[in-house]
Amino acid sequence: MSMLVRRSLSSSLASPSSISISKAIAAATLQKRGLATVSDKPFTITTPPPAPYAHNVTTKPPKAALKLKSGEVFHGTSFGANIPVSGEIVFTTSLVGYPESMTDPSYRGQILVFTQPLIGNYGVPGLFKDQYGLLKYFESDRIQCEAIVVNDYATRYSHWTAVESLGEWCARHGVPAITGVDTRAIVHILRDQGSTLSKLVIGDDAVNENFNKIPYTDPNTRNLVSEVSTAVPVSYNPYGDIKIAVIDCGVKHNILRSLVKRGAAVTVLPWNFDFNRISDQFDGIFISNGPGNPVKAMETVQHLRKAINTYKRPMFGICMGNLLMGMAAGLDVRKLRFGNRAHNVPALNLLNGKCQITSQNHGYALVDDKFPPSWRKFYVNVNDGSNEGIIHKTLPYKSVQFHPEAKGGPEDTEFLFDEFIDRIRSEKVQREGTKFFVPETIDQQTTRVA
Amino acid sequence: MYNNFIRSPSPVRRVSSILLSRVQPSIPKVSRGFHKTTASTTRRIFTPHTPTTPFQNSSITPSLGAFTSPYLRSFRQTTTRISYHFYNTTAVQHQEESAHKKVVDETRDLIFADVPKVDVKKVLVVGSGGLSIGQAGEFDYSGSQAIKALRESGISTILVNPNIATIQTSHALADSVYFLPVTVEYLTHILERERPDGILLTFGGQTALNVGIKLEQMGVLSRLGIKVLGTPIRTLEVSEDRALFADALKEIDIPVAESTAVSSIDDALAAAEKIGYPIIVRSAFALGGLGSGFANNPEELHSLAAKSLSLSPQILVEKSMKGWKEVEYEVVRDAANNCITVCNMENFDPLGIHTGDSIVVAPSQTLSDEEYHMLRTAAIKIIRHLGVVGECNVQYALNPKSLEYKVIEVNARLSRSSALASKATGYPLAFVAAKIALGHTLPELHNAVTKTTTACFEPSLDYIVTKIPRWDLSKFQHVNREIGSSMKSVGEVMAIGRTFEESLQKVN
Repeated sequence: MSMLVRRSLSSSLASPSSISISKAIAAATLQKRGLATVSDKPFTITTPPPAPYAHNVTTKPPKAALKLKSGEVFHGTSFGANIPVSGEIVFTTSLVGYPESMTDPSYRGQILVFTQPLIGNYGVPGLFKDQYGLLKYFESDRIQCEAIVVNDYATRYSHWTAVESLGEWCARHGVPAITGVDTRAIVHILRDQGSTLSKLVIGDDAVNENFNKIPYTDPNTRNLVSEVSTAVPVSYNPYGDIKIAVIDCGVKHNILRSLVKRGAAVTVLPWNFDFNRISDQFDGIFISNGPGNPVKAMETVQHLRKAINTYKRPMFGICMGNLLMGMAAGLDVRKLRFGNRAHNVPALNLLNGKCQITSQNHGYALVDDKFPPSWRKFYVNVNDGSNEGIIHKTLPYKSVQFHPEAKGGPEDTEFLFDEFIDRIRSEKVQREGTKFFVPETIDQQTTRVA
Repeated sequence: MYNNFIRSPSPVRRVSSILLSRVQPSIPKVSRGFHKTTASTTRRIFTPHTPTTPFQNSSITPSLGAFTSPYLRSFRQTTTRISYHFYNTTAVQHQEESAHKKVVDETRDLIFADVPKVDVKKVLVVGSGGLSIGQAGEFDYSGSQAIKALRESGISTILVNPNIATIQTSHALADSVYFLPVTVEYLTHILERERPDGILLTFGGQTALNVGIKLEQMGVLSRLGIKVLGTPIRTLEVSEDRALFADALKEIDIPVAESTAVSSIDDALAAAEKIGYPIIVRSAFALGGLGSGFANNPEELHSLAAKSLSLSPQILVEKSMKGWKEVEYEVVRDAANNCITVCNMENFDPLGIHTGDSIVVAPSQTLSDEEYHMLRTAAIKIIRHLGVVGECNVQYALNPKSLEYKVIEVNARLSRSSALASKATGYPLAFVAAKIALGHTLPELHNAVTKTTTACFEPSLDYIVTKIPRWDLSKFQHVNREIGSSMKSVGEVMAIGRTFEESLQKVN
């Protein structure tokens, strides 16, 4: 190559006429080939400021390895905390919303696999609160899942809300994270054999495949609901015109926001609080989402059973709330093979035949082959036919398995909150007259008429 | 889903004299008299397009004879209309019992409660005509899918498309093909001759749409009693006329790029003064952003407006949002008001570069959950408000520093992006849109990927798709080689990868 160049150089130096010829040839070839952009204007290259790095790239990230209980081992690199963990491995097919998913209390005790390959692209937003004192970008105040498994971690992030990288956030919260893993292969295994337990180790243990330092722990044997539930009653938006008690089995902040932004005063009660003693202070009861096995929350079921018979005001449940409501109504629960964790699950409303895309995150479902006489199916999953909601035939009790509050996920079913709140309002008006609730619109109309 | 057909053997390839002797006697020797036959046009050789032909068990179809019989040779040479026959085996094949089927069977009455019944036997599909810059081969794809969907429902199809270099005009698809220009005059002629029950306008790009709107305005469709299947004409008009469109979106509080429609250069200059430079000029009813561009001062606007007004009677002067993120959603709605967004796509190049000329990534990779679902909810709100039945494409400009967004455009038809979305996700958008036009609903249709679940879902990808346009500007002299707001690419390449880098490098 260098020989050639030298020769052509020497030849061009030898005769000045050959320079012009070669220039002409070069010009001709340029014209012939045709570049995509040709501009006469001079342009200046401005180097943008470098995007923030997640790691100091000079230090090599430690190795990490993931082992499923069925024996498969996956190697990758760590980008989170340097702690070995064990938990139930589950996967979510959501494309967006990793900060929301990771802080969702329903993922407690689980190692979360993202099928979306590129994670961390938009960083992690800050701990901002809205006017109700609820977290704006997170669903709880900490990362709830045990660990995360991603295919391709974006070391540089860019977003206007981001304050830190996903790796920094994980490390700060003591949550290990592994990247460079074939998540598709993991999902195939999980789909075939159902959800299983797994361990994640980091550093030398990962290189040597030494997984014996920690045992496999099954989070579903623990009472996860008690771990994530509030210890003391908390209230939000205390001056709302209607009062709702939220039974906190691991409530997401956006559920609370969905209630308070519609004008309700919300009191969050611990999961095992016997709300029947004070339920007449509230205009409605809401049973929140939550992690783990619903059988562990039998205390709540017993309280609900009592409430179904005595409390005639509206009750609404989401996710775990649906399972608990169903159990209180007399239905059984079963563990799904690999659960439904996605933002694209179609649920068919059996009252009007409309199909809605829902956000879901559950490993258990109600067995709805036989129904108690006073209840009926509300929603059904169109893909696998599993139960997605139940509704009482006469009383204003209903619950859904999916997440109408979204965050993350589609907002198609948000109207369920409207229905719940409207029902509470209208019943309150019926019960107490209009002295407590006079909508402004009516007020204006009457003044105009006067 | 598509394997339910036994394709008729190629008429030319498999000619056997023994078989012919068996077939020929049954071919009617006279044309059926629904209409006048002229020497230059067709003689209808056989009419039953229903599966109940006596040849169902025969290995060849009657059309074989049609092309080889000496008396028919003249037909083949002179006509522009070609008929084929093949039969549908959907009824014979049993779909396997799935949870989805069980749910649908149990709730059939509910799902179809408020869906108007579409009863058509014969449907005309309007093709896109010749390919040009700004309108590429993707409409061949959507037309073919539509014809396949119609066939599967046992409906006889007529296709109008003068472009012979397409799959949709191949013998295995439509029952009859007219190789005639997609213009109002020719279409009127064909409609009068064929008298179809319905017409599909949204599968042939902008050309078909414009012709359809004109046909309706001239009263041809109502005179002949032809139903427009899928998205109603009024919706098409609203989505095409930017003033109507902006009003419609204002009704539901969706921000739209503010634009002033003008039809003279002076008006354009006055509007620009009001809005403030820099501004973007677009032409209404245009293909591939033809005649649009940016202007930073009155001089530039003057020359740009002069150029654009020579191409279109009306131009739109809009505030430029150069540098904003450009995001698209593909939305599907059925007559029962079920909506899904099949795919969202993000342009690698920011606003200012036509989608056809920019690198496109699907699904979007830089949007947070809040942004993604804000735009998704808006897209569904728009499609419900406009009343689209079938497929629709919504384009947004999203401020990269806040939640501010504006709708740039809504295409109430299968578009370039739909074809990309369809290939990127494996979701047969055009097929499903055609089925919806026939009165099917999303929950009842099958997912073409899994076969056992419903079509009412949103594909969740575990890969990244990148599309890069291809230019061929060296074929044109004196053309500006800078890409901008009007499309210059002649094609595109798509690649799938497990990481963004992989897919981007594969495309190159």
